[in-house]
Amino acid sequence: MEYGPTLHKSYLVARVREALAEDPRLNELDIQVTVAAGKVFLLGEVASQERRRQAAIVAAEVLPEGIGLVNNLHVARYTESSDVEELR
Amino acid sequence: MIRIAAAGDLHVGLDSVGCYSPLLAHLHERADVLLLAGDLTQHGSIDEFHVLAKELAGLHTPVAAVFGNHDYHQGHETRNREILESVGVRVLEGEYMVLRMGEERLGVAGIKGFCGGYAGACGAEFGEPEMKSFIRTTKEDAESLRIALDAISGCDVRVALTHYSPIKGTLVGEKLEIYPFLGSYLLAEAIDGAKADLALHGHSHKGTDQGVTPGGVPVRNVAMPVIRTGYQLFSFGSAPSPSVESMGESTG
Repeated sequence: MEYGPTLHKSYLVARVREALAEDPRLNELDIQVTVAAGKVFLLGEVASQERRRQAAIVAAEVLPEGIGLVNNLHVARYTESSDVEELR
Repeated sequence: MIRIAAAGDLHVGLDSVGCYSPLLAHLHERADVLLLAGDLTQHGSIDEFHVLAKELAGLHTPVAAVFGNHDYHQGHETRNREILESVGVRVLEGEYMVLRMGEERLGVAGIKGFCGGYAGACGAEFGEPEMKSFIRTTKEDAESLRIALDAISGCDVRVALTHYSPIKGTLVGEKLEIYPFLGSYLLAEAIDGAKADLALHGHSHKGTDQGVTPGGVPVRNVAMPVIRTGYQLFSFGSAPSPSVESMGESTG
């Protein structure tokens, strides 16, 4: 699928990932970006609701007009500690 | 017994106030030391390091940390180190720390490390100045780690703490294309040369928790997105509570 005269699907993914990594409001390097059914999907995990919200804002800013955005990011939840691994 | 708690990739931001400290509530009952494997903050800002310092303040457990790439992003490493040290956190940048626990001594050699790839598929110090500088940085960091590990060679338990991964084994789950940006075999070579007892790293959020160096040293990826807990626990042998005996800096 083409997203304009110069923006192929793979470049669109690259552009969104670049924005998520480099935008000073976010600096998220591990969000998975996928294009399907004419929409951009944000997949994976972030540390807070605020970062989840910010990721959608940053991504939307670099999308061409008419391309939808689906924010499937979830917020990480951690338990206190693991069992002990005995190494010696 | 020497009990080690370890975590990496906390990615503390201004929105993280009160998020990490609750996970440390019982740390002093479970571990003799907390080792942090870099990417302590999201943007490397001074304000974020103040948030992190508050999360770590008042712990009754010694804490040592290396920085990660995120912690370098805004260029405030010197100030950020001071902020952590103001709450008693030891920052290891090619340095080591020795803790005495009863009759036993734990040595920790730490450095962020850098990337470049793994044996058979890695960059070389060749060509453009930028490429040579890139690989030279990795070589220098590995040499600093080797010297710091050498300084703790007399300890009963010797741990290498880095942000970047010394091996590919703990990267399984990441895209193969980005392996060269996740670590370097040169770190593993230093770890194997010193016959360390454990290597801890972070950086790889989608990797796996356990691996081993070519020389047989256990490697653990303690990035929080991998371990899913506030810290991972490891134990060696048997004995009680720690006191900081000495610190030093390698000159590699």
